[in-house]
Amino acid sequence: MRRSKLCALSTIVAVLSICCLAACSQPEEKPKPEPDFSNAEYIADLATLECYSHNVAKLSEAGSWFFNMGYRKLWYEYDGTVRVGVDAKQVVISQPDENNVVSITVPQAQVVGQPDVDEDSIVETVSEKAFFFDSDFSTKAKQEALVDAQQEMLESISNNDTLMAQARQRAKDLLEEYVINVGEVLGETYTVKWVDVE
Amino acid sequence: MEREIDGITDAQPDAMTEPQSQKTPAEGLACESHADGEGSAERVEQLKNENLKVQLEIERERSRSAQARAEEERHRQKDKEREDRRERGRIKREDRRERAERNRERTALVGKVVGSLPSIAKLAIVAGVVIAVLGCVVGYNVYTTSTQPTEIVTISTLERVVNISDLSTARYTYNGIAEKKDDEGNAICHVYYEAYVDAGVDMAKISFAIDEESKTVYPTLPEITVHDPVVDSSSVDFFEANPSISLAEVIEICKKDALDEVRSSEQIIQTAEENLRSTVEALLTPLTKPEGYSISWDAPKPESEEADNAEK
Repeated sequence: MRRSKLCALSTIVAVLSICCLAACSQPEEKPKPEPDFSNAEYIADLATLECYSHNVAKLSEAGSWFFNMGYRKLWYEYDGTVRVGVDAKQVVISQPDENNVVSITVPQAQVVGQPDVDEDSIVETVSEKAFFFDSDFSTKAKQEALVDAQQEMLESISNNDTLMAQARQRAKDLLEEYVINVGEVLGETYTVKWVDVE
Repeated sequence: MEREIDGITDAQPDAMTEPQSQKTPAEGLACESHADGEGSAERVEQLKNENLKVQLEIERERSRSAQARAEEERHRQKDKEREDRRERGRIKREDRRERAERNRERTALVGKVVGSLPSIAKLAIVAGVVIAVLGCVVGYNVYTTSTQPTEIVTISTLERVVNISDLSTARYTYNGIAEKKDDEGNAICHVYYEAYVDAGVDMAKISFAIDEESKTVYPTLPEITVHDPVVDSSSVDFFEANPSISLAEVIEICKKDALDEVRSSEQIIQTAEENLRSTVEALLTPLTKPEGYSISWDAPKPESEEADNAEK
């Protein structure tokens, strides 16, 4: 009788302890930490590419019928900088889904701000005129030429698909690395899905 | 004894028979003793040999008996060892029996004590033991799975994070005017051309210094590499109306001009450096900002200066 009681008690205790051990061995499922992507705009700003370019401005005026009088031509070189990037305000990074996939919306690249011409770099490389007594181009004319050159630079860069693609790719690379590094800090592995904005 | 030499019979007197008649008594005695001496020498030799044989036999006998004694000694040793082993085994068995006896007595005693306890007390004891074991297990699990703070802002982590080759170079436009000069160095032809040049660094060579006190990261960029420019030969334009220059010459002077200008231009290097700084900051932000670190492009203060400041 005593033995059977002891056996029964031992069995109950053994079952209880097994249940407790099983419960303890299963780690609690901690809730996934929510990543903080609040620096996305800052990253997109940093992704903006400074594009240095050395350009040539061309001025010319046709001469008259009289021995081509008044003919003038001028080429000069100058340095300029244009910033190319994506509109940081349109960049959106979503929270990761159940598969740890993060969607990033990136607009197309564009010229950011106005081109910046370095006036100290302007060099009149070559000029000619029909007659020695013909006047040179006035300062105003040169200034207008410079404005035209800036406009031309702007258009040239905007139409430069390679440069635009480079700038956009740079923004995408930096944003992707940003998301991956945020995930690494939290101990999560994120993958990025791109959403294009036309 | 007779010898026949060339038909002449030479009868030699017999040494045994002749000398007595011809030799003196002393000589005869000497001869006789000589004859006796030879016989006794042989006898002596014979005796010596026999003696030797006997001695050898005696020696052999001695060694045989020594071997037999050694063998006997070995057998005695073995028997002794066997006896010792048996004795030790017996002692061990007795020890074991005694221990088993003591354990049985102890178990019986515990059984008596436990048996005398009420069921609740028994349950309580067992439950207590189980809880103690569980407590150890759970405590160990908690200890091993507790997250310890990991170091994020370390030099090796920062170097790994910035090592992205796709972001290492940028392309810059270079449109210029090349000149063809005569023998006296006067420009006779001016050519407009368009080109591009790539500039960047090896991101793996970016180094870092970290000031833990002020929580500042000091990156150091390696030297910017400006690659050779690439000229777009379809973009050329001439200032002069009818320039006397071949296409090959045009391309040659354009490339040379682009190369000379790019290599002497500081603007490209400065722009490339600015872009790289932006890139490095963008890559480091997820690591540095949450930990409260800032990035500075100034040279880090040497340790001696910091120590001097601290002393003051």
